[in-house]
Amino acid sequence: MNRSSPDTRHHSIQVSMALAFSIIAVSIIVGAILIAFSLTEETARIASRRYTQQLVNQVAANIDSYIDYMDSVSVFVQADRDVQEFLGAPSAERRGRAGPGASALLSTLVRSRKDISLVAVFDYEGGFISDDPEHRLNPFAEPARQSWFGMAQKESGRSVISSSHVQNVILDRYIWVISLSREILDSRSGLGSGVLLVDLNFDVIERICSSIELGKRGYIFIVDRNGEIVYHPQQQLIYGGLKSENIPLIVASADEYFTEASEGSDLLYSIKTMGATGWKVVGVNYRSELVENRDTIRRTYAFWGLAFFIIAILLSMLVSQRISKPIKLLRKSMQAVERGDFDVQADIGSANEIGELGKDFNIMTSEIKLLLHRITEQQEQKRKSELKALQMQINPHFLYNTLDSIIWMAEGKKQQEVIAMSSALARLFRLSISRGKEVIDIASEVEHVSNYLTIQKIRYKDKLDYRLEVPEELKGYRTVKIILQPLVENAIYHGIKNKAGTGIIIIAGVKTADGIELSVRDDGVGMDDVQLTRLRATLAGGEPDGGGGDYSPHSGLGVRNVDERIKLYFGPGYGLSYESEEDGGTIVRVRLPAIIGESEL
Amino acid sequence: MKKIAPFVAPAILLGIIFIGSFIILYIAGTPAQRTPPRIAAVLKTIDSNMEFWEVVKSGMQTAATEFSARLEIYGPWMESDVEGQKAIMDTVIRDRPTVIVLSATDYTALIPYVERAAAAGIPVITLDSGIDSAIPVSFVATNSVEAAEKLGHHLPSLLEAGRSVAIINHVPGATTAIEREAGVRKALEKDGRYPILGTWFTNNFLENAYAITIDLTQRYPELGAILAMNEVSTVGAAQALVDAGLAGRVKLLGFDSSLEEIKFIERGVLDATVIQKPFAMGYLAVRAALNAINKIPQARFIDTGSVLITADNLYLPENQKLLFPFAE
Repeated sequence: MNRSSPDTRHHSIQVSMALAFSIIAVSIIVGAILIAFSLTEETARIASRRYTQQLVNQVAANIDSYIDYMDSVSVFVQADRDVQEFLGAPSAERRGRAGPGASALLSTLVRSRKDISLVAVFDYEGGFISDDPEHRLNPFAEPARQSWFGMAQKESGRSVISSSHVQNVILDRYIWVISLSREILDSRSGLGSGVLLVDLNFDVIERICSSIELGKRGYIFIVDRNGEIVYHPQQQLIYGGLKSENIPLIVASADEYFTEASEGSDLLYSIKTMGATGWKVVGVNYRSELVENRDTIRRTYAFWGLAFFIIAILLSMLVSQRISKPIKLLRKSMQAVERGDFDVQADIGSANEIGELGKDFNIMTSEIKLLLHRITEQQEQKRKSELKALQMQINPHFLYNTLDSIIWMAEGKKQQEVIAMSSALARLFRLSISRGKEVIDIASEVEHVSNYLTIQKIRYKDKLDYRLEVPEELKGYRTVKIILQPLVENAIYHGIKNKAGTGIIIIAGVKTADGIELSVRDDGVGMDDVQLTRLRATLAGGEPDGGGGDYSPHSGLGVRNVDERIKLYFGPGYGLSYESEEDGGTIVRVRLPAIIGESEL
Repeated sequence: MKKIAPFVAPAILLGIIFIGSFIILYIAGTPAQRTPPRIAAVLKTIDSNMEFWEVVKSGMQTAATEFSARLEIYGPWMESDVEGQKAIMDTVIRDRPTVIVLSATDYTALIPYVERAAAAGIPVITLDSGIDSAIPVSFVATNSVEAAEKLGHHLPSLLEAGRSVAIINHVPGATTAIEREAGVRKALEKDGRYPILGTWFTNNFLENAYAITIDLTQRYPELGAILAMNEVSTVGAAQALVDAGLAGRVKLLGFDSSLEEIKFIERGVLDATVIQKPFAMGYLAVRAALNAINKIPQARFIDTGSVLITADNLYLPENQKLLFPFAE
């Protein structure tokens, strides 16, 4: 595990969340905007369509009103007495009398209306009267051969509307008109007696239609019930085959609205069928123009789409960062715990699952800390008891030797010595037990070692001499019990025993600035550098010396045991230190704190 | 994988933004169309009394509206004002329109201007009257030869074989005069049954047409038909035939349309006339101009068509609009 790996992994959680959020947000925005756009467009399209339909209806109504007027003129003329008389009279004479009256009526009707270009009555014998007495018939355009004339006869009495055409029945007059014609029935016989013609100046209709604007390119056109074009702004293009309208479909259509059936067509037709004439007024829209401000709508939507993208992505990054940050913090705390720092507390603060996780983590950390503490304590306890056991182990060995000595003395009838030795042994053990206390005052410790030395003095006689030089003022201070005895034991067995002549052991004490220093000095064989170094290493925590040399494992262990016990009770600043010289004796210094009182450590 | 992650993530983010923007922009469509093309039309005349040109203009206007183009129409007052048209061309080229539609008043005088327009990268379309140059992308006009042939083909239905015919033409050297006569002669010579007496020129004076016709009827009693190559010649000849009492007996086939001609057709004096389609001409010229801008290949000559009018089809709906283009 390198250091960057947890960081990277963490990074990828944040990034994948940000990515997922972004993808979702962007998809939703795209979808929403497309739907909104098409809805807006559809709404605009419907509104525009409705508007077109209204315009078309308006045009139809407008034209209808003109045709209604023409029709009412024709009804009026038909019923007129002079006109009836003019047509009904057999003789040219009566015709001559009725003519001016009828003509005056017609000119009255037309005079007020510029849009009516001609009102005329034709009898079946070539005679005619019109709104203007100046009118002469075009000799090359016989009225009876005109289509409006024939159609009126066919319909016998009902009015007929022609498509737009050039009216040429009057000499030297060629005018685009819509013709309403009607056969006039004789009021007495009920038989057809002539044909009435009312011409509406086509200009009127052209102006109505061309004034309507349907977008930039849209237009209005009119077809009659046979599909003939009445009005079309591009009529010539249609006749010339340069343009076409789907006229059969328009004529057949009952709908008010449809799109041109031909594929790829951009045209939309809005149709109004006029009641009286059966004409169809058709509004033509270009589909692409239907939504007038389409570009503005598009731009607005595109702008907001992009704005929302950026907002959504920033939010995703923020949210993923907010979510991953406490995780990151938790992770850092965990790493600290990994390194052994159990005092770390993950301060997440958020009230969500991760916050809970942080709290749980904190609880876990303190639990672990407590547990560790307990384990350490237990370990310490265990070691203490082990040491106690070890301390006990010293005794049988010594006891055996002492008892052995006592036996020998008893056998030698040395009663005084037996008493002295036995009582010293008894005191030694009493002090060893010391009511189970580990820490005792120096006085007791010195007494303990003096009993031990008494016993050994009896055993070794002249071989061993000793002096106890611990000053009285030190005797009230505390010490771990049974520390001097193992040192003295070492001094006897390794220093003096191997020395020729009497060896002396001096136990001294001094109060220093740091505490108290007791010392055990012998003038035995001492140690060479190798031995000393090995001993110091053992004291420093190395493996007790296993073989070779003059120090037995037991004794090495014993010295170390003493050192450890001192350190265990008083801290690492205290313990043993050796100084020695080959054939120059050895001095062990015991550093202790200056503690007075009964307090059990 | 872990090492490239820091580069991959922003790339994916950018990708998302890009794809999202692309979808929205695609559906929302390309914002703001480009500015509409500017078509400058330099006509032979802008005199609103000239019905032919008025109809051409309305055809152009219709196309410009339909194809969303801006149309500006210029021209001298008189068709004969070549210098005036040159000056107008000069101004128009300097104004740098997208395309120019030119109806030349002179076959050669306008060539330098068309060359200048080409040098400035402005395509030119010629309308009705072309120029002697290969520069214009297309020439939109009536096919005069073909139009005249229609008269030649119609003649046998009016005239028994063997009767001779005379051609009354307007100005020697004028393109329309040459091409129309060529068309008539081509059709008649192919037919072979009608000897051609010759061609007489009116120099575009009605009186000359009248006088020539009177003279012809007197000099050639066997004369069966007169073919008049423009409106002035036709009306002059028709009047002469009426005055000579030969209306209907000497067949008259003419060109173009006017109220006078229509009346003569109604009276049976004028048996047929060939008319052009100025509305289609204007419309197709604008369409050709837009094609030229968009580099859409198109024919160098665009025939706008012609129609043979007789008393029988005079009032057919499709011909009424050609003969009487305006409601008033």
